[in-house]
Amino acid sequence: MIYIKLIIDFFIVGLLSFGGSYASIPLIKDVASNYELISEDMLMNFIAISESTPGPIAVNLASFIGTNVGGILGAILVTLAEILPAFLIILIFTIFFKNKLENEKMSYGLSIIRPCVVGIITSVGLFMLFTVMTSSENRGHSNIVILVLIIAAIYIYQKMAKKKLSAIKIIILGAIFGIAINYLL
Amino acid sequence: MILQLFTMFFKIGLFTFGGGYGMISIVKDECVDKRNWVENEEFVNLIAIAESTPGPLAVNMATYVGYKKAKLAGAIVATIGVVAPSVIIIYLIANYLNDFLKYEIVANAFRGIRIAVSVIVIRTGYNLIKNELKDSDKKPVVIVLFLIYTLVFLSIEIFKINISSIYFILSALLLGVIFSLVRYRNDIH
Repeated sequence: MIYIKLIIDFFIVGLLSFGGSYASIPLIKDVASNYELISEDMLMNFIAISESTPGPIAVNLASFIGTNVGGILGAILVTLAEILPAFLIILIFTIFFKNKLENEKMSYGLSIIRPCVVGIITSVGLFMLFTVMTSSENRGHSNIVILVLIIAAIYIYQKMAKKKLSAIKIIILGAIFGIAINYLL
Repeated sequence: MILQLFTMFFKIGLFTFGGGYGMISIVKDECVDKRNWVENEEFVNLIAIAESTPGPLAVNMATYVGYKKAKLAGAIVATIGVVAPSVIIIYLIANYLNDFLKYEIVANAFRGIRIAVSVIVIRTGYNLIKNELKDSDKKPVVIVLFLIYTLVFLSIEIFKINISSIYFILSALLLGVIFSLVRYRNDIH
């Protein structure tokens, strides 16, 4: 029974996740809060891992929650439910529209939708930061030190190398700072 | 062909770190440059549709290329291929995560990683809105919508107000439709 509910929930998440994986994080958080197996803290760890393992973040998160609720079968079913809307929509586009993909009216509507979705994405990031900063593990403000170090590293790299520090490198730096700070402070 | 589609998209799924944009260049390498399965312009259109429809880019692209090469069976096989590495890797990690987190060094690393990830997400939001403002003919509208959605959504999360995120996405879609209709009517008169 829990499978059916989870499959429907993730089908809806997949259907509404416009604007990439980050925009689907709040939707997935809503679903996860309905299942008492997954704490908010655990979900934050899931997001961190989903970001640092291969594959789309939304797919990784679906697999995570599926595994926690129902093992390998849960992982497979929830992931398939999550990607089914995307699959069907592209299939319909490809079969019926051929190459008439550009539509002026549609692109105007999208230029209104996009800033809203970007706003949601930004607030997800800000809230994640707020959660880590106010969590009980924040001994002696060490989290603020980690944050400042990460931002400084991004800034210096961009000045020196004239290109952006990739997400995967920022994550590795975060792990190193997280371990190091424990010995220093 | 079916087997080739599966292994190719399995490989793409396995080597795509950090989401959509990195994988665009991998798919282009494999499908456009190396194999000529998809033409260049067709590929640009594909990115445009993939970005304006729900779901991960990787899934959208796998479905399209798979259908083009081997109809429905191809679409299914390519799509399953691209998500299979995620399911396998995450399944393995999820089973051992709690044991790992018991080690202090792992817990500390995760604390840093979580801060890093929130910085990455904020940076993505910043870059996207900067992109949105470039060449926009309605900068004030874009800025106001962006600020309203950021601030309202953030306060709802912080004060734990019980409203589903679904309504936020739906309200954005509704705004898009309303703005389009208004503009379309003005064009007629």
